[in-house]
Amino acid sequence: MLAFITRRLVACAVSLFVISIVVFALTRLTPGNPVDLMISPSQASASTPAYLELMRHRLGLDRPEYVQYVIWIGNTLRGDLGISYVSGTSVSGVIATRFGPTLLLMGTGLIIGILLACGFGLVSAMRAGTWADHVITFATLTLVSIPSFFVSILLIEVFAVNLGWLPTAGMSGSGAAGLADQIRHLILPAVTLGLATAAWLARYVRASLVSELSSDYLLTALAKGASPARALLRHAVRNALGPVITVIALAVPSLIAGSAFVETIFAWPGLGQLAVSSATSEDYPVIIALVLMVAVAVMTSNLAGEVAQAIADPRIGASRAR
Amino acid sequence: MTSICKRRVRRQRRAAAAGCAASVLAIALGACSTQAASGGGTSGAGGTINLAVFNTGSVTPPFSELDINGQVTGISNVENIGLLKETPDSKLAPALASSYSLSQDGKTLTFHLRKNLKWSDGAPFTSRDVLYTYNQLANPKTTSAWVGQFSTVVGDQAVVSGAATTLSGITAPDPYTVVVASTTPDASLIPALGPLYMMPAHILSGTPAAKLSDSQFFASPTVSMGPYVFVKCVAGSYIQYKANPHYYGGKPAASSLYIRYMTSDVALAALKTGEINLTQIDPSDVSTVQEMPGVHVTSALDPIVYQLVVNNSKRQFSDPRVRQAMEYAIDRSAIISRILNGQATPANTIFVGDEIPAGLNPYPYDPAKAKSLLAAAGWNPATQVSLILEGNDQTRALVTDVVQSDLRAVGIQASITSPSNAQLIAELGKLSWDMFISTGPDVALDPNSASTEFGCDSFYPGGDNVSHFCDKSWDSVMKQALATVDSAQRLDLYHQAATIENKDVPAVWLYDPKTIYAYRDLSGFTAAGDPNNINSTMALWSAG
Repeated sequence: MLAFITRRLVACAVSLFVISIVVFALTRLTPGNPVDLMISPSQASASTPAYLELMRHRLGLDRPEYVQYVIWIGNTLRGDLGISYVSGTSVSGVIATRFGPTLLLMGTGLIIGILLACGFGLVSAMRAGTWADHVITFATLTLVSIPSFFVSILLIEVFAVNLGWLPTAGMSGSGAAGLADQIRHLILPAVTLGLATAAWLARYVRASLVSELSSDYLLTALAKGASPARALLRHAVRNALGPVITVIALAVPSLIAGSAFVETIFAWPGLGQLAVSSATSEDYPVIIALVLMVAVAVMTSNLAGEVAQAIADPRIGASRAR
Repeated sequence: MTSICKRRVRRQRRAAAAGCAASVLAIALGACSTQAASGGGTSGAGGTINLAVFNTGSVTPPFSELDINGQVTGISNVENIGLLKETPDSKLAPALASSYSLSQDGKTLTFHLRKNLKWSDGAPFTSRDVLYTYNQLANPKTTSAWVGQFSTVVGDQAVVSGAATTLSGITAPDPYTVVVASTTPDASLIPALGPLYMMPAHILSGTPAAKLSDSQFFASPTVSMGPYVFVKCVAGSYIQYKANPHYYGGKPAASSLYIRYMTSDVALAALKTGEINLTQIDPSDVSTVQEMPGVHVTSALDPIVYQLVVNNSKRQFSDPRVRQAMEYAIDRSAIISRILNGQATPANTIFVGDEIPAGLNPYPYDPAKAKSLLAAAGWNPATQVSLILEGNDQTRALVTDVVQSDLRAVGIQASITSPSNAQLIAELGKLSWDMFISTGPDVALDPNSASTEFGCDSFYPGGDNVSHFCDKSWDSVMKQALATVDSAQRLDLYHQAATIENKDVPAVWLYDPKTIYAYRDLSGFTAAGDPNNINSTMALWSAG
């Protein structure tokens, strides 16, 4: 297992290196230059050429591209991700302030999604072919088909505007923001993300469980006197978890993509909202940093998923150890 | 931001997002310190006011170069103020200065400060703060975006070149008087310097100019002269302020104020639920919002004009008859009634308000006349031209569609393109573009701002004249106006300038839009055409 993890970590490092070159090159190939973006044309005209040159020097743009890359990658490895063109502050600092809210939202959304998916998938599998199965199948397919931003607006309209139970947006209200206030603000965006995750994950849970429920070993367990609940939870569910864990790990990219919409609509001050605002304002240092972060997150989650799968299913662990 | 998406005051660009995105109150919440000052956020007699804004961006110093989306002035408006302030109808009014005067020769401007003013931390506000602020803003080493404001001040060249750190032309004979000497008669000095936001010398004077923009003070600017004082910023979510007890106009009625970032759709929902008190709305939302119980809608004419900027350096556009034809070809009344829901008036000059003379050509919609003018100018109907759609503003996109359709109807084959900001700047530099829809400069405070837009010596990239229009007679009139102290004579000269450009059509004038606000449970609010100016009455607002 250790050798497997080591091999994967090396592969991840190589992938990240390639991604960093591609992303850096793309930003440098974009027409215009950062000084043009940072300084309004009227101000550029008012500034002396020497001043503009000073700005380019401060940004390191007066050096060859490959030198710029070497400096940038060196700084990145030391945790210095550069300066945001928009805020003029360090990218690390900008991202650090956004990391917590995103982790909270995605974590809560993922938990809600997994719980709903397991519940729906279990009922659907156990009642396969019945009206309950059909209703759940219809509901999950419908949810998969509806974009997150539409679900967001729908939830806001129902629970904030019409019922008045929850706030429309933001991470906290005016005045003293206690835990209860933060939870109230978290519910709608987290449920939106959770529903999006549950919609497709429930299909995997159902398919995996249906397959396990028709297995011979389950009949054997029942024949040997195991109760149906014990046979289901101890044997079928555990074996069905393997592929589901992999799918959950693979869900991280879609969760990140979903969070960009959800965070923007709900004014949730996380990385997704930052990604959208950075893209619209062409804040390249932040964009590059976020792309690298997402790449690391995806690779880490995939690796974690594979390791978890190996632990859940010893057969897979044994094959990967070879 | 690019030069085509802009709102400028005086000689400089300002608060671009306001003019660009129809989503205004141009305030930024994208990146800011999470540091908090003590003692904020409690509700008082005037309650807590919640404003919704749509633009994310940054909290940066009031002199920052990094005003890509122009949020700087918006964010500073709540807590900062200058010697003079801009009223909701875009006029200048005394603020920290009780009065000002310009000498008969137009070369000496004197500000008389109010006495016994204090910063929000209780420190006295005197001419020392004014001198400190002006010297820093004039110094390129601070990365000031306002260096150009001081170009006619005595000693400016020495500061810009680095030979001096202070402007010899700005002096303080006593703690309550500031005198500004200029090298030439310059009536624009009043709007150029008066509204610049003050910085606290007692806090910042020890910081070297080159390090000023990195000062931690600007990440948590907890000392101010404006109606409110910064308390806390949660990046991408909200900025919290508390009332400034030492505000020159008296302590604000509301005890605290939040600026909340949200999308325009959610802002309308939050307005309906009462979570916010005030937001700006699009013309298309007016009827929806008017149906919301307890919500009021108000508007004011924006002091900027939307125009179809044309590349005059290209041969096909150099004949004024072509530009006049385009003016006749575009059905501006239809744009105003169908897209803007009547929330605009047709424009026929870059000037607004009193500077618009009687008798201008209104260029009524007349495709036949447009065709005849194009024929007279020798326009080749096979000529393909590009019509750039800048940004992602829905209203602007719709207007661009109509303009394209109207131009095609008279034989101008325009194709819409949507370059990125960087591509657009590259095109502007190469003069390879043809047309785009843009906002003109804010000329309400200082009509001379128009000279940066169309002056012969302001060609982009050396200046703001991206259209490369040049009319020596117009330049001459504008320069005379700049050197004229007498306001009646100045007005007459601007009328002459407006008449010339109405005929020349340096850009195809489209419309002057209204800035629309929706509010509830908020008293004392006055609509401002320039959303940055709502702060001038902010101290009077109270929630509930």
